[in-house]
Amino acid sequence: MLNDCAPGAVIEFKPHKTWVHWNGRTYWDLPLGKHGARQNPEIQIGHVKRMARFFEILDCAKKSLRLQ
Amino acid sequence: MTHYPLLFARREKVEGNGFIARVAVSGRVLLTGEEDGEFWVEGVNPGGMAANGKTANEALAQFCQDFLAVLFDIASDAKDFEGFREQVKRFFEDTSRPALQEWEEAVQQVRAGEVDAGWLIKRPAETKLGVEVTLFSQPAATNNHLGEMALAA
Repeated sequence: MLNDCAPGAVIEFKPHKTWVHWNGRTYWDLPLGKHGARQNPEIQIGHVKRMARFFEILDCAKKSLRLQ
Repeated sequence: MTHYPLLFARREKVEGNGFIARVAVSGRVLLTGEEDGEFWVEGVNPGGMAANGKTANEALAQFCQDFLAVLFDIASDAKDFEGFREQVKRFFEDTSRPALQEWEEAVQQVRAGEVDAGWLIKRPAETKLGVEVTLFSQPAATNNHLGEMALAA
């Protein structure tokens, strides 16, 4: 999704959260750890949607992730 | 979906590399009751964060914990106090524009009596926002603060 909708986005893993930097802005609160997606995919998708809203790429993200 | 415009006040102590800082924030968050029964809290200021829960209280508690976790990550990243302060201000000031637009619309709904949250106190939506990051050098009981969530009206 980031490749399609936020090209050049940089992901940084921190002790508690994952940061995503794009277009001069940062989403600070992505709980996507090494095994996060496997543990609770519903919650992860919800967080990805909020991140896409913050970056104002939600329409693109919905198409990319095939979400409603 | 129901949107609740909330005012968010916290005072946290954070240890960093060679410093202890106090972060006092007065921000805005948007609480949303989704159609599937879940609740989400999105930061307006600070933007760039969100939390969810099965109840409004659970989502709000998770948001407060996530807020602290982000501060801890910024502290672990910062070389010194100045670097920490600069990043915390950047975190706070990067407004979520979509959430802000819905927050402002929700304030109008509260004022029109269409939305209420009886479990929260009300504060004026124009309450001053901001973040203060100060070096923590003199402990005092007067520094203690429980924090608050209020409905913006």
